Amino acid sequence: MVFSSLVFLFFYLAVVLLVYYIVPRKYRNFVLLLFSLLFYGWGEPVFITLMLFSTVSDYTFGRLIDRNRDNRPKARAFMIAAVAVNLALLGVFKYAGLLTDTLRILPPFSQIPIVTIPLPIGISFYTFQTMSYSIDVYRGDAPVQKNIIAFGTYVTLFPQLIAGPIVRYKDVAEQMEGRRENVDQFAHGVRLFLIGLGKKALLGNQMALLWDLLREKQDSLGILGAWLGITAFALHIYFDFGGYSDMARGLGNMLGFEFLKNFDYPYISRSISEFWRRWHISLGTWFREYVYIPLGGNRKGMPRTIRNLLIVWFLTGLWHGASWNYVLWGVYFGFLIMLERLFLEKWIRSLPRAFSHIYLLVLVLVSWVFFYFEDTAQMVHYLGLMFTLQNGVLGGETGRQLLGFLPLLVVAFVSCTPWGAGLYHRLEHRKGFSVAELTGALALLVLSTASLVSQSYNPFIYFRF
Amino acid sequence: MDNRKQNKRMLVLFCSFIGVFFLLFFIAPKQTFSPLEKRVLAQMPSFSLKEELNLERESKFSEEFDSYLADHFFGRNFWVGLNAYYELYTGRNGLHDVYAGKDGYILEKPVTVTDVNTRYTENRIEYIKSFAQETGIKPTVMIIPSTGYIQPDKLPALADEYKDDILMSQLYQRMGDTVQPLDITAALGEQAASRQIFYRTDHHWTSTGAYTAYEEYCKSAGLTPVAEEAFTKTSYGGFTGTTYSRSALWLNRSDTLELWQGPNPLEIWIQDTETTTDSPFFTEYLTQPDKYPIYLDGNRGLVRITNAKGNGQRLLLVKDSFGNCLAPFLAQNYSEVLIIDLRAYKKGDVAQLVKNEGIDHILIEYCLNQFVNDTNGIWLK
Repeated sequence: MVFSSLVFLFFYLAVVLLVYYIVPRKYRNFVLLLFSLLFYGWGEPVFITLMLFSTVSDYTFGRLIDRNRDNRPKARAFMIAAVAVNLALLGVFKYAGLLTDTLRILPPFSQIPIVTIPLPIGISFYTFQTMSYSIDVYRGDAPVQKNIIAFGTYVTLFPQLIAGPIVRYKDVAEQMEGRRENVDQFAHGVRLFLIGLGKKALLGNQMALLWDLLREKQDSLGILGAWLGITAFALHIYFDFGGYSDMARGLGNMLGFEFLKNFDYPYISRSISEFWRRWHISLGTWFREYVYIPLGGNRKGMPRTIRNLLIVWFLTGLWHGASWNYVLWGVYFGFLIMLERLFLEKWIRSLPRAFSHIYLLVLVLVSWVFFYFEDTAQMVHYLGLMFTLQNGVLGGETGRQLLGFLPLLVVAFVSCTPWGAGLYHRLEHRKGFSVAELTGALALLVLSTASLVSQSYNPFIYFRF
Repeated sequence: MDNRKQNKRMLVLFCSFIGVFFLLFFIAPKQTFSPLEKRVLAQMPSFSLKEELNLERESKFSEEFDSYLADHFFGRNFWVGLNAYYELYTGRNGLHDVYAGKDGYILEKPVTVTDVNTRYTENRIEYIKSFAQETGIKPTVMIIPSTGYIQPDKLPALADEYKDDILMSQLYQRMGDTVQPLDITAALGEQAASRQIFYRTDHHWTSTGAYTAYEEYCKSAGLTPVAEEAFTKTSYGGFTGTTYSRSALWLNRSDTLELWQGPNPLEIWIQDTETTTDSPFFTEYLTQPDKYPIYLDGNRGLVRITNAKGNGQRLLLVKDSFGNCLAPFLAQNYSEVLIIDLRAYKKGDVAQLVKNEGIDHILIEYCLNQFVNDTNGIWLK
């Protein structure tokens, strides 16, 4: 199930909220657990078993690590086992196909059969969450959860289940049993949710459409057309994923949870390093805490730092999908961040602001070409369109598409900046704000509903990860 | 401002919005058919746990339930319409295969050539060629260009280019000498300057448009067309067609259907329903949501129109839906017009039929879109 669907909004959510607030507080985790499993199994009920297995396994390892707190080698062994189980799940369900496809290129392995294992949605998100739990319990950064219902609720919690943010256990440990839902938090959740819904349904989907329209006519795409196309994709992926994160946080608020921010206006960054502090924050944090720092981070000399950066960015790329283009995408960022660490960032920041913004946007837009095209030939072809004048400046129907989508593009560009939030806070205490805010909320609801009813088929692209 | 109060209002707004539509879904009566979309709406799917646990199942309960919910969402047409106007007024015209044009015209977007339909087109041309050889009669082929091509003045500012002329000349060229091309573009264009030859809300031509094509056909076949004044015309308003449905611009003005009753009495026999009548106009459709089948009862497989005062010759008309309006005009001259729609007449071997029926002339009529995209050309074989 995805948030931006009629069945979620007008069916699932309506029932969940009703039941959740009717039952006494002590049963609320259980209610959430049941409904989250329903949410997860909606498309593929088979995978509920996987989810239950994951929950029981991580719960058990957590208890074992905790019981052996004073016997470090033993606790360490259980922690490693817990991580290994999660990595094995990821390996089998996500990367087996890539591994066998790649091995097959080598002569001794050319006979390996083709592996087609369906990808359980959200597996990259929840395995990372539960790994953080085992490691944090081992490190003593998080308390063990002895109540399996509460633990199951954490693993399966539907707001962040299939597309993040990757909530670390230590950030919500207290909330699992001690949260107190209230009107203010709920209303804040509604605001976040509606903004996220608007981003996804009114901007993200439309930018995907523009990208498709331009990409379909690639043969006649001029240099500006190609940049417009990848800009549309950049906006699509931001509003899609960012909108989804907003909705997740909003839903969390409605249920009494508080999740950390996952996006912080990434496109206003002035360096790649800054971009990654603002983009998919929960993933960056995860890799920093559980891979980069344990490897020694930047405290063991430049060669080690470079090695660590490359490992982290190789893995970050691979996390996004079982295809080598994602690895290329990750390593590309790793390489740029390395250069920025060495000298580039200082130099870039000494330039006028406009230059550093352009620097960031150009490099990020190029990265989305690596990200989008799994097929190398198509990727190279598209890069060719972006850097040569083979089809002229605009090309084909780009001008018409640009004009048609211009109003939306303007809204999208403004929405990439904190300008709207700033305006909101300036007007907050003015007279008439109350009515204006409610009208705005209703408009978002009505237009998003209209859009969802009109396009009942609406796959959410982050499912693949 | 009292924050707590505003927060309560926000909570109530959101919860009542989703709650009300949740309840309405259960309370409101459900339709089984959507006339605007001309399709049966989804039904409540049945759930079988055994089936759901099979990863290779053909249909998923979740997907079927999603479409059931979307199809029966309360006020569905209102929402779809609202979205259509929202898209239009924020600059995006033509997202749903049609353009909202000027003077209330909603026009199909230009026909595009793809790898897939190129194959269909190639096949169709081969079938037509071998059909011509087998029958020994050189068929006249009439391809009807689209509204947007004939009436560019009705297009919105940011429309794609219509290349109907290039496409049509390529098609005629590829059919070569085996057929007699009949290009009616100029005649339609001339008429369009002063009269309505295409509907505003539908992709078809009006009776005036069909009459223009009829005149052109007569010219090429050496016949004298019945003068326009000789027809008795009846008009019915409130017609909305295919482009209207697709656009979801519900407030757009509607069209008027004109029925042109010719001077020569006709007898119409429809094989599919085994009915015989004396009028090519099936006015019972006027009360139905889809009124276009008023012409010849819609797309029937085989229809025969006989005219006791005809010229003693027999015409075979192989057609798409544009032909339903055209055929009664042709029947004013011919003693018999045999009409075949390959989308419903799937018996094949039309050449044999031509021989059995003693056909003298053949007219193959398609609008450009159907000529390029329809996949039923094979039934000519």
